[in-house]
Amino acid sequence: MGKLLRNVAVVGAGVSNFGNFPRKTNRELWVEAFLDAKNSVDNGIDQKDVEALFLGNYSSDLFEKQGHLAPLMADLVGLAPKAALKIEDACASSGVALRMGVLAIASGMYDVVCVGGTEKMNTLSTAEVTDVLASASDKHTEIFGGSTFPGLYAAIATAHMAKYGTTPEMLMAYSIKAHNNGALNPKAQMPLTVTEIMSRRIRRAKEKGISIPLWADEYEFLKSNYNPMIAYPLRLFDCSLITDGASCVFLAAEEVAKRYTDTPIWIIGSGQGSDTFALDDRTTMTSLNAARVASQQAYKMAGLGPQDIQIAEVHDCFSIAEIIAIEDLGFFEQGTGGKVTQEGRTALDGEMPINTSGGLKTKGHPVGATGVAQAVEIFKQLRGEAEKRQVPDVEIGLTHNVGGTGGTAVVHIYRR
Amino acid sequence: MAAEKEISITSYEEFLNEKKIMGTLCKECNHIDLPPRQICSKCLSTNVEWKELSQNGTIETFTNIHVSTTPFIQRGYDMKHPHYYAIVKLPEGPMISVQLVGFDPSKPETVEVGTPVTASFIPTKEGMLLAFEPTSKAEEAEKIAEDYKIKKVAVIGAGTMGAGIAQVVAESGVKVVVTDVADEFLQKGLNTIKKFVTRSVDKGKISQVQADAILGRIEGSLDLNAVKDADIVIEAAPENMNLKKKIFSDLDNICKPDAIIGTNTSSLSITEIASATKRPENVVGVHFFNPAPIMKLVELIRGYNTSDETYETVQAFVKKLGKTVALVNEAPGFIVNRILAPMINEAIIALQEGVASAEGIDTAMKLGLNHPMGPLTLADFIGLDVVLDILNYLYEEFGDPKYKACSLLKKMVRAGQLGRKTRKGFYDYSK
Repeated sequence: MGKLLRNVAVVGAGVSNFGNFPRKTNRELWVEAFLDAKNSVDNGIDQKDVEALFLGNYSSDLFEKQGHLAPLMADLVGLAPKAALKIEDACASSGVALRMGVLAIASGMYDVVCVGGTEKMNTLSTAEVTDVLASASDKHTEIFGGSTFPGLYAAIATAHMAKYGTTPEMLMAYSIKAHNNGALNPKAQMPLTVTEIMSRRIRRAKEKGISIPLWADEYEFLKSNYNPMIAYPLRLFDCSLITDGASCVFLAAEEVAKRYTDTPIWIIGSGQGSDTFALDDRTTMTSLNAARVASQQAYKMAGLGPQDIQIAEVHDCFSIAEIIAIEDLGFFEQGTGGKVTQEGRTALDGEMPINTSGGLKTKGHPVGATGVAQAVEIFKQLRGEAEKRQVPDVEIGLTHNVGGTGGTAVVHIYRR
Repeated sequence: MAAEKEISITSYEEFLNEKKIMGTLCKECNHIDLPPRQICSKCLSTNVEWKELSQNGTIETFTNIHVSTTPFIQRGYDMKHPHYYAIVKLPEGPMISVQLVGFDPSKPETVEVGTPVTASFIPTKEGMLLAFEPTSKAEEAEKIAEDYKIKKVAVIGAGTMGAGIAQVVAESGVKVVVTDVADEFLQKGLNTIKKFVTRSVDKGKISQVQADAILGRIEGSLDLNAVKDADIVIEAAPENMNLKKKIFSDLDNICKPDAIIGTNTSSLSITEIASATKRPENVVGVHFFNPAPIMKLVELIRGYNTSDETYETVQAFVKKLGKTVALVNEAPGFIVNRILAPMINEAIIALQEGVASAEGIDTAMKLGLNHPMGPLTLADFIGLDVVLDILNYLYEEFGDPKYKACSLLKKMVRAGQLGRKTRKGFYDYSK
């Protein structure tokens, strides 16, 4: 129980550009990510080496009206006739796909597998995207109660504020930090700092000849009408983006990993949990039990604790989600997530850098691709390939990927 | 009975339609699950039974949502935004996701975790949505509801308006009896309702069960005595003062002493109609618009003797029907016709003076004022004879030349070009 029967490494990792691409479907996004990952393999990898594809995707059927996605994606990159399967666990789809890939290798079934994630979201209006995402929550209670995904996380935020005194400024500090990191990621959907966004707004207003207020700092901007309320207390800058994007990694068993690279990144811990589906059935609303369960499993498997983790990509679909994630993962005490964010302790140069990629907020959140995209960032960081956003000398990293409001959570721990 | 229904989400929603919040009680560990579960979430026993839960609770957490989903996934209900979503904790323990109503949507800071709230049900085309409102407001509403309980309604006349009104009443969950003088008229009216409701089922707006329930609340009768136990009677007979007076005099003898008698007249004097009864304080104008199941407005007209109590009861009743009330002190043409008739008249004058073509006038009014149809198209729809009648009546009552019907309108009515119903008016409908 709780052990991998043999070690599993990530030997290559890549992502497509993330953004709003009217001329790209899941096909092009996926091929782009696959080639990026293939090119990242130090000694090269051939399609014929790959024995199976585990693909995370939330809803190509609703977004694109294209079902049966896994064999299609396998075919496009030359993996047919290998096994190809799609895994759907809402926004945790590819995080779970990664875990399935790990288990498949650890079991001895395969030596080399490809794990990917892809999501084409910008096919629908924002309200329709909200519909598709909402269908990952409880139809008969949460949706009929009028909620949306931002609404559910906003309810979590309200509860967190009421219980721990978390403030809107703390949420804004998260957003500023996320943009600072995303600005350093060339593949991010919104690679701009909040200050840069402010000056763009000012420039645009000047061009149009409309008067705009002079903001003293980012916080004043984030409190203005330029940052509209989405679901109180969450504003636009508290929400992740609607993104087209794909991600891909190659996993190999320890016996063959060295064939592909001298610096494999080992997956030393993997955990997954679930929870009551609806938020209203939970005993607590300020913590995701699935994430706690998943991280405990992963820590145990790795023989490590939260204090050993040097860098993490966490599921920040909303500002409050990152705040509770860093509490659930044990990096900070319950209730202090907002405060430590405001103190800069999770910034790129802080004691515990969180979401160096810019996170779902600025890198983007193509829901089915997010879990593997997190692994791609940790792969790059641990190998010292994260360029401008590189955190020096990191050896151990973690990814935390959540489906819905924590109906699913999956955590992985990586070591160089 | 509750005990007989299978434990399912479908049963749970059927209970909501009856304004009951039903969960499951575990007979082993007394844990309550909401919505119901076949397996107790606490001790995993399958020994569970239905349990009706309290309709009062407190806000556990909430949000105010500005960007919503589409009505498609909201049981066909178009959530206005911003709207509140909350998780409410019931005294028995379970929590439930609901919409909050009755709080100011622009002031989220006025809502607090821990605020007491009471269940309030929102009727939608697919059944009731569970919502909660501030307990203080609910108590007020309950007091009103207790004071003015309306269990049965009667509609006199099964024509277009009568049938439409009966349908609206039945849809709101109240029993209604429709009477007419001839079986032919009655059957025609009942068939219209049936067709309308069946179409809603075909379109997926309501379920067959709901449709059957609506139709089951409607009863037809050729005997005016069938209205004797109604709490509110709405007369929708032809617009003829003598006929209406005769009906009101008969109703006065048949109806319960405290029953309210309303008239759906679009122009006649409520005060004069009320004079045919010995209870003018219980008589009020309840003017629905055509088609009644769709049009949201009801003009509520207070006659000279209408009492405050009658007026308030009917106002609450009409709101319960899901309509919006416009309060009117009796005056010729009330609000809508008083303003509409001179507007149409002015449009016809403009046409007659060659200011613009009929299409030009209608396009200008449609796009310039965002009206759904231009005044001349609307006149054709209403019937030019009806428009002329209204103008003549306003002119006669006010004696003000601004209500005087223009010559082109009179000429067209004399020529028998009355609009859609004669296939020719300002436009040609013969093709």
